[in-house]
Amino acid sequence: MEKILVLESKYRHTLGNLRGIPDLKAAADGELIWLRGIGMNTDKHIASLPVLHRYTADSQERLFPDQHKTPTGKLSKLDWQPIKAFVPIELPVSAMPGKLFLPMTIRLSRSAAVQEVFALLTDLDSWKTYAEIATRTRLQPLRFAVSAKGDVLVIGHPLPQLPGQTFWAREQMLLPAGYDLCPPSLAHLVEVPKETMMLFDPDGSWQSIPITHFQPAQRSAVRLTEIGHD
Amino acid sequence: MQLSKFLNNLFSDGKVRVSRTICDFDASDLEVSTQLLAEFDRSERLEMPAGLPDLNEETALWAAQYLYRSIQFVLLRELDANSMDTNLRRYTGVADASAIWSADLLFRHLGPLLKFSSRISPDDPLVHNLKETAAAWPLSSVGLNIRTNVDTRPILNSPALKTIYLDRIIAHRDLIRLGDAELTVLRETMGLYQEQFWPGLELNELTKHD
Repeated sequence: MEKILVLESKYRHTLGNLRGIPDLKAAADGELIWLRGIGMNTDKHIASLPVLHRYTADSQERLFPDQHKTPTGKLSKLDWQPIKAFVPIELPVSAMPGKLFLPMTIRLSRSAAVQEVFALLTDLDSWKTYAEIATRTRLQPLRFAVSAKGDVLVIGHPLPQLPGQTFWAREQMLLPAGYDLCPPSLAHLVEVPKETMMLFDPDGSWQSIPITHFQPAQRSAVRLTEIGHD
Repeated sequence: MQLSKFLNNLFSDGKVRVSRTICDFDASDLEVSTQLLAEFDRSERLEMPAGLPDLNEETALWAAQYLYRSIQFVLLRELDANSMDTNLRRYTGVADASAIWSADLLFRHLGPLLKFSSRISPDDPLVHNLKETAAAWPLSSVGLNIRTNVDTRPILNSPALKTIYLDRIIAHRDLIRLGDAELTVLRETMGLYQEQFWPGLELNELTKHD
């Protein structure tokens, strides 16, 4: 006598746990799956299957439902396969490599490294007063941009000695003197748009300034600059 | 309208023409020339340091005529050298800051003229005349390798002229213009950046050039 179990095909995936049972075979028959070769000692995994029908087959492959002595049918000719073949192992699909687009807040921290200053944020009056009397020699290496509020950002070297805040240049980033990115290696991750300078505040906020907004520090250009004009 | 046309071309594109003969400039020509000089002075001031001395129209007009005549003598070799003293008149006014600035509107072109005439005939009386004029106007002759023979205090006492003078000395690397007073203001201007503004200049090792 041999035990025969019938499952609905939607539970095919549950057979994966039975690959280690020798002689166990399965066959598909429409919406049903037939199992045979179960043996007398029922495995716990087999006991937990969502079985639809249980039969016992005699040597003539007549099917006797559980607790019945009268056969209700005969085992069909099916394509019996070992479980390993019936439910082949599939390798899990790897997660595709990709970029993490996690926003990062740029922070600045105090730095003991001495950096040569490259930019000065001052006011228009101070800048104009300086340009009125400075030698052309000192003006020539400089360029400047003016905001609508009258803030003047002067870049170049050497900078004039004027009241204001100084910055040093880490590539296209202008960092306040005495500060650096936290950590400094963050500089390699920051993508500054071409033809742009990023002017940082000590609190990490920044503003983008197109390089085209800077003009040579000619005396006439400074004199003709008015707040609210480009 | 020889002179006014000459000035107009000089101030607009730097290419000038002079008459083949020496003729006096008529009054209307001189009047228009004076107006052109005043306009050029105004436009130049926009790029110059604040506090420039006023324009001395007489000095500027004299310098314009001197430049015009000297170009005639360079180009018209048939002109009698004896007439040079008459036509290239010496300046008889006071060479104060105002005169220095006013003459410079024209005499900043002395350099190319001197080089051109020196190539034609280095010992020509005209070359000597031009060199004497250059030496008398130190602001305009920076970089011409000419030792000045006049007091430069009117320049150094005018903050604006001093700034212009210093810029030209640095631009031309004119060592022979570095007297004690010039060295002092040069140190103030360049500060710690001597190597950037004047590579190779070591102020502490400089000696005064007389």
